[in-house]
This record gives sequence, C-alpha cells and structure tokens, in this order.
Amino acid sequence: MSGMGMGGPGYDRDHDRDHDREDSQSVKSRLRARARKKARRQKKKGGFLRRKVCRYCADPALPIDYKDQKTLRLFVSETGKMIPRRISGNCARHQRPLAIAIKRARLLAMLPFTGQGL
Amino acid sequence: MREFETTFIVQPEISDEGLQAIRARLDGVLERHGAVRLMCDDLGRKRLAYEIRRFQKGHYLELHYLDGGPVVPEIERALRLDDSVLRFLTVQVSRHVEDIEKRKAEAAALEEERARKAAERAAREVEEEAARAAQEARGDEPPREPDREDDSDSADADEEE
Repeated sequence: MSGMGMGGPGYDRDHDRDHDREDSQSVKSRLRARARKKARRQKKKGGFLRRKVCRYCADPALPIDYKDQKTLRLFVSETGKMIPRRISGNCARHQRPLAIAIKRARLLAMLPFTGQGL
Repeated sequence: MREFETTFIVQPEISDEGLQAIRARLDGVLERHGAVRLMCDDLGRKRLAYEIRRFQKGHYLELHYLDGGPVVPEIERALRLDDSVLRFLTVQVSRHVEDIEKRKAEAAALEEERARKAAERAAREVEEEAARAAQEARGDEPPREPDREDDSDSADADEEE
C-alpha cells in the first residue's frame, strides 16, 4: 500500500524517530487520514462533496431490525462484509446495534456470512 | 416480565399440518411453564442466503412471548428436538413489560393482521406455482430448477458428481 511504502527499511534506519511515529499510528487512523485527504482533493477539484449522514439519525422512526433484510443489505458489501462507518456515514450510536443486527441476520441465513448470498 | 422473540426456520417442504403441529407444540410448552403467549407470526418462505442442510429456502416463523426467562431453554429444546427446524434465534425484545394485558391486546391485533397478510401471500404463492406448472406443461422454456428435487442424499450426490 502507498502508506506503507514510505516507511521502507532504508528509510527507517536513517530516521529512527519517524519510524516510531509511523508504527504507533494505527491502521484505522491511516485509513481515516487517507479518506480525509481524498475528501480534500475532491473539494479542490471543484467536485461537490456530499456530507454523509447517518441514515438512522436522519429518520429516527427507522428501526434497526435483524429481520429487515432489505435495509441491512444497504450496510453490507457485495461480498457480505459490513460496511465501515467511515464509508457508510453511520454514527457510532447506530452502527453498534446495526452490527449486532447484521450478525443475527447472518445466523438466520438472511444475510450471507460470505459471498453474494443470492 | 420480559418479552422474548424466537425466530426459527422450518424446512420449506413441510406440510401445513406439520407447521401447525410445531406451533401447537410450542404453545403447549409456553402454557406448561406459565408464560404468556403473545403471537406467532408466519413470515413465509424465503430464500436462504446460504444452504442449510441442503435446503435453499426456508419457512420463517416468529414467536413472541412474555416470561421471566425459564421458558427460553425449554422452547429452544423443543426446537432443537424437531428435525424439521433448521435454525432458531431467541432475542430479548424488552427487559420489562409493565402492562401485560395491554401488550397482549396489541400483539393479538398484530397477529390477526399479520395472519391475514400471510394468508394472502400463501394464496399468491400457490397461484404463482400453478402458473409456473402450467407454463412448464406447455413446454415453454423451463423455469429455474426447483430448490430441491429429492430427499434422499444418494440421489443428490449422484447428480453432483
């Protein structure tokens, strides 16, 4: 990955302190940084950047139900993985029960553990 | 009293009588242990996201009841013992239900409504099935192959090899 490429072995030996800092940075924070960077770039290009809104906050009446296949599918990738908050725009308060609902739905064969499932 | 919800999947080829028998058995368990039965909803036959015991479809049912908790293992035991039940999941819906009678009435109303919908859906399914059969008889392009032709494992294995 491009983020890792910067911290190649030769680079690290010369700059020990830099190396330490890069190690302490978690994978997630690196991903988030990349997402921010991308957003900034898009803004500069003049493309409008739609602010992501948590669907469940936007519509408080929308229940998070493990039997609601249609809605849950929106938050699962084609391969059946849960979509991270950073992409879907969900807030933490709603992502938590949503994750549980997705796992329950998988148990009941409403969502696939892996693969397309349909 | 807590409210529980048990969703379970019954194998799709079960007869209506068999389904009724399962429901009656669960109701019996609830009654024996003094739990309050709220409703038993038929969610219909749905496609499974993955095969369970070689079935690609499943008949989903949802049972709601009020109890302190001791019935849950009993219900699950009854489901586990039944060979036609593919999967089940029990979830606590509410930690504390104050007005039992009110909840009961609500559930009864909902059950009635859902039962009506289920009946409509069943009728539609039968109709579609008939239409498909008719089309097949006319010798049109064969529709998608049925989910599971044979119960015997040997026949299935032969096909796949």
